[in-house]
Amino acid sequence: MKIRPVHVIIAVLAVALVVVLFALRRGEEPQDVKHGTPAQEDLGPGVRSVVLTFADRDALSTVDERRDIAVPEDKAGQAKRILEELIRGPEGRDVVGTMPRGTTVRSVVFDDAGGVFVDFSRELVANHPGGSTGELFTIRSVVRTLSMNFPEVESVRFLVEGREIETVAGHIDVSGPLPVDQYR
Amino acid sequence: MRTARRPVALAVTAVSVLLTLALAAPARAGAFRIDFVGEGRADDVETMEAQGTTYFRLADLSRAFLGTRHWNPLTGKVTLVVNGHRISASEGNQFARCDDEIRNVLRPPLRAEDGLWVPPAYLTDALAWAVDSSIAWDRTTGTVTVIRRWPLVTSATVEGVPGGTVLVLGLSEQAQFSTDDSAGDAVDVLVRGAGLSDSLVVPDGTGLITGLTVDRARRGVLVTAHLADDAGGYGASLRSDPDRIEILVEQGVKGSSRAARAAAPSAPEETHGVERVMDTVVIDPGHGGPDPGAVGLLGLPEKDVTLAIARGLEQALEKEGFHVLLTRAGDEALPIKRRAEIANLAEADLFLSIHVNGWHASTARGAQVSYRAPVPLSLARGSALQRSRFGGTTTQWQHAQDPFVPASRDLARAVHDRVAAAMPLASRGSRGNDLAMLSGCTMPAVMVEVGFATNGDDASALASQTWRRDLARAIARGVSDFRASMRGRRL
Repeated sequence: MKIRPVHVIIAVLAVALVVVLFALRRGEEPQDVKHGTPAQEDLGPGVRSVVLTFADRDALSTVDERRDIAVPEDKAGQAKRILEELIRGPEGRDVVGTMPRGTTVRSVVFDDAGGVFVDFSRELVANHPGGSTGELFTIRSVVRTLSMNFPEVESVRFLVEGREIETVAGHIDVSGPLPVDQYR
Repeated sequence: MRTARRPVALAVTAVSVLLTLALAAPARAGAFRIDFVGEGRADDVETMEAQGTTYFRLADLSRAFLGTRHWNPLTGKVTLVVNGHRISASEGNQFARCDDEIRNVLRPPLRAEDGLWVPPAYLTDALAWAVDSSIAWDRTTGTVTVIRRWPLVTSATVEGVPGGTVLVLGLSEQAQFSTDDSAGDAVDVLVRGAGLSDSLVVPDGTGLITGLTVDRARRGVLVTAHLADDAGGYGASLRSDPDRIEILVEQGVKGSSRAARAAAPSAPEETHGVERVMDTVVIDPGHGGPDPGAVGLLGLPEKDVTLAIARGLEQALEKEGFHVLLTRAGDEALPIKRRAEIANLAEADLFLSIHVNGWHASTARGAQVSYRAPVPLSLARGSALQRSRFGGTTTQWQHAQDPFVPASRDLARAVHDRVAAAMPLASRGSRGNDLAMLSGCTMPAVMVEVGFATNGDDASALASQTWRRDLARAIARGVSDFRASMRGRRL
């Protein structure tokens, strides 16, 4: 059988189609923090580019900062490390940290249904400056930071010293799971 | 071969026919006891063993389940009407029509001289559906157990509280109820469609409730609270606890608006969609007791500032003709949801929670007035009573404020506008927030934050007596503006 140019073109197009389809399929795969995005791979092993949510100085809107930090391999460990970085505070000018001083993260637990439990130390409540605005932005910072770095998170549950709390500063009910969509 | 097989075939046929006849024919007549759990009643029904199972006499079932039977002589179909539903069954047909749907009762009903007999699945499926119950049968003990999937009144308590006596009814699940005080010396609470738990113990009377009678009425459970001579008005309250009805009987005060209100028509009344006379305001001074709230640059605890402003606001509103109640009059701890409960219990027309704001830096400043943003249905938790005055339906606590959000938004704007105009404060506007103390309120409700304790200028102003007095007056004017704007409008 004689190979005609048209056959070559068809073959090339077929190969190109397969390559394109394969690339598209890869793009659809959910982002997995263990494998990391290409940007993270460039940072080297154990380093991750994360997003942290703070607030503007007038307490009117959230402000996101991106930062490269060393993280452990496991997901819960990464979340704990990211929240610790959030507590450390912002780097930008005119950006205000929203976590009370002295607060530590005791543990982070992910469940199988998009929920994440964050157990803070008692300083979250004891050192909070108060006010519904201060409280709202503390909650939004934690919820948004977790949802930005772990897109599968649908709700966040606040615990203090391992126990459920009614509010952080007396205004917003945090006794149940907080939906990401409501606080992001 | 053919002749040798014939007797065997005949024998097999004969045995088959005999077996069929034996199974089809009633083996023995018996009786089952139907136990209606939670209703305190039972009934006996005739049964027979046939086709390897138990059949129940439909006429007896009709009597036990308070139904009526209708027989169509042309089709032979028997329709049982029970609890407003129609179940049609006929001899030889294993499918029963239940209103507009067909249910397979697995075995066809049998007809005998004394009517139609139905198989167990007729009870456990068709009848259970019609009476909204779980029905189980036990052949070894000869019992049928009917457990209504209706709310049960599980407990009743009567206890004295400041200013009155409260009757609390515990429910197994949400229920509708209405109250009636037309007898004059008693309040009837009808828990509609409810049954009585076997474990319920009727308590002795105390205080303004001298005794309690609990009866199974045709339309539910009727609890009658017999009132003392000095009893005044009563009200049903909104609770954050799920599945409770709480009736507060208050000490009688001649000519008080509350007594007059309780003596108003006792039929269930819609509280939404009616014009509401706005005369009672509950002011909630934020925080208190061991919870100081925001402690600002000057070391002034929020709980003291809010109480001082609340007292000033109380005076200013009383001058405007409002009847005013405070959720706390001193330095007391008060759970956040209890604040809304107090407003509901008082049948307040407006709820104003007074707070001081706080921030993580000294930069944020100004006053803001917040109302409760509506909660998406899928996000709600907990439950409560929806309506507070003469009856209601238990519903989710988070949704209690939902019908009032538009009015709350208007109230927030009215108060904010007056505060912004009168006070030398930065304005942060009125906004919808997720605020726990407003969630359960069954009236327009807002939180007024009178500046930031963490800002130097605001903190200095908060320490000033004059400033607090002027602020209280500005808030009161905003409330009056709102009341004027609501005249002729419906909530």
